[in-house]
Amino acid sequence: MINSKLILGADIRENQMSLSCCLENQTEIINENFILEKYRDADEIAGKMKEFLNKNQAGRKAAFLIYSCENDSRSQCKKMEQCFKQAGIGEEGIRLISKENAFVHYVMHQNEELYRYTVIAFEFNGTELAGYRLYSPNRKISKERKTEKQVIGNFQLNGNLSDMGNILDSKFADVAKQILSREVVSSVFLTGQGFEGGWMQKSLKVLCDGRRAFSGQNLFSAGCCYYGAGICKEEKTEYLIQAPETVLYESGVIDSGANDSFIKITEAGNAWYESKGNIDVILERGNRVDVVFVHSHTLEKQVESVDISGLSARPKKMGRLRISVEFFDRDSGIILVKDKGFGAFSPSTNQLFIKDFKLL
Amino acid sequence: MGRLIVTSSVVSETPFYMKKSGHPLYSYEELCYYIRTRMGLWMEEMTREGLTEKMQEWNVPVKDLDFLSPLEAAERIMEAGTYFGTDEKEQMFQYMQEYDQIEERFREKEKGDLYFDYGKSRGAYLAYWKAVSALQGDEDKDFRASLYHNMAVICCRFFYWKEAKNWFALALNEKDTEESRIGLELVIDMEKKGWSMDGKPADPEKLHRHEETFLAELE
Repeated sequence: MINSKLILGADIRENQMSLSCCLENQTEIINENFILEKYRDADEIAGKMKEFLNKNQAGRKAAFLIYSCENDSRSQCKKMEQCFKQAGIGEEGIRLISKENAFVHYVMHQNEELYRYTVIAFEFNGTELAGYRLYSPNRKISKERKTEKQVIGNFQLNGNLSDMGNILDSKFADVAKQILSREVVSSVFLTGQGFEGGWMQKSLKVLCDGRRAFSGQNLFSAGCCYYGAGICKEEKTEYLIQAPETVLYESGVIDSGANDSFIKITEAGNAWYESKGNIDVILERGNRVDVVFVHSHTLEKQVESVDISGLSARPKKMGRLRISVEFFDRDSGIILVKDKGFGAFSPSTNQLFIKDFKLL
Repeated sequence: MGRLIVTSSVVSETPFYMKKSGHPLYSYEELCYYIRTRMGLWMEEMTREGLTEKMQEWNVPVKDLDFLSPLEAAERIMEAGTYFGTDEKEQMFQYMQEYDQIEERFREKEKGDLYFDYGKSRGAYLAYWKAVSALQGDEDKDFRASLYHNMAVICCRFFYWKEAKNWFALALNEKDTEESRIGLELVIDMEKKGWSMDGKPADPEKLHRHEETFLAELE
């Protein structure tokens, strides 16, 4: 118990934050919601996180922090992460994931019957209604799941909830009916403060018609926790999950030293901002380096060649190169090839060859 | 298309020094390259103390290389990684097995050249001397000219001017090259100056002592 790592999941919104925590080898999750006074102030957020851990985990430090934070740039998130680290949160790792990804991880940790078919989640903050859909995009590949988010529309109430509740209820029931009638939906999840207030009457009947519906405020933060537990356990899911940040291709090179087998540089299924890797190779011959991108399910290949003809001439097999692959988003990135030299035979020139790539 | 060999070996901070040449090796691939291109020197290495530990550090573990014969050690090293392809390995094994059967004059000349490149004058002199002793007269003129010329340069390095003059002359006799001519002119010039660099008459006793030290080292 003492050795198991503590994972903190957070869903940071404009003026509210949901926190969840769990131990890596336990399924029990503790949840709590906080109101934020300032707009995404890192110190305030870190303070609330510490308060939550003090209360529920006797001040134990969270080894991993997994959080979702929409509408903020990566650089702003990086600044927040620095602040979290200074506060001793997430010393072993901090990761930002999309809400879609958190939603997927939450759902995929429930009973399989709940995600046998499509799963829909509605998020309503009192003004805007958004829908998340988890579905199987390819009937031939039953273990593939894709997730997408769609803003359904403005559902703002202009008046007292008791007066306007019926109108809102009818409006939401119509929308839900329209969405849920399109396909077989195994389960529905509701999250967000907008669903509070007991105004749902008609819409509940629509939602629960032939399926199970759940409501709670910690869908995303708990999903973050499950994601973190997966990292700790180095869990390999049998499902290919396509979240907006997920890279679907694995990259690698053909190793002529091992009967032309494919050696991976980056793996598929990771978020693009975490999908980076490098590999050292000995250049046998030729003046270009080919990096192969393979789609993890269709096995479609795309080859990107880096021209290294500018590399100072040297005999066969006398040169060590470091090939690095990094992504800018899920479909594009950069390949770097660096001359590492060959000891006293040929000192490194530190020449760097760069190639952008765009996955089709 | 470029062909690549993926390596998981580690480049070490400190090198393993080959005893005969003094060449520093920082990785497994460099060792393989050394064996392939400097076979003559590798076959001279009778022990490889510390190489087994270094291989461990390079992330290519092998067992007990220290007291194996050069051939056995090379085989074990080549099998441990993927630097050599299957065909290349077979060619290398065959070449190593037949290495002792290469005629002495050619083998020693090659070895002498390797020592020469590493600035190991003593090793080069000994190897060249063996090559000269094994000459049969039917060699290529270029081969003989190169051997004599290199021998002359080695003698110059030891200030062994009289010997050097003879070797340069022999080299020129085989093939008239600019390098040998310049070498001979330099030695003749030195002879005129009384074998000293600054034009002052050299101390014959000092020269004699120098020659004695050189000969003692060879023995």
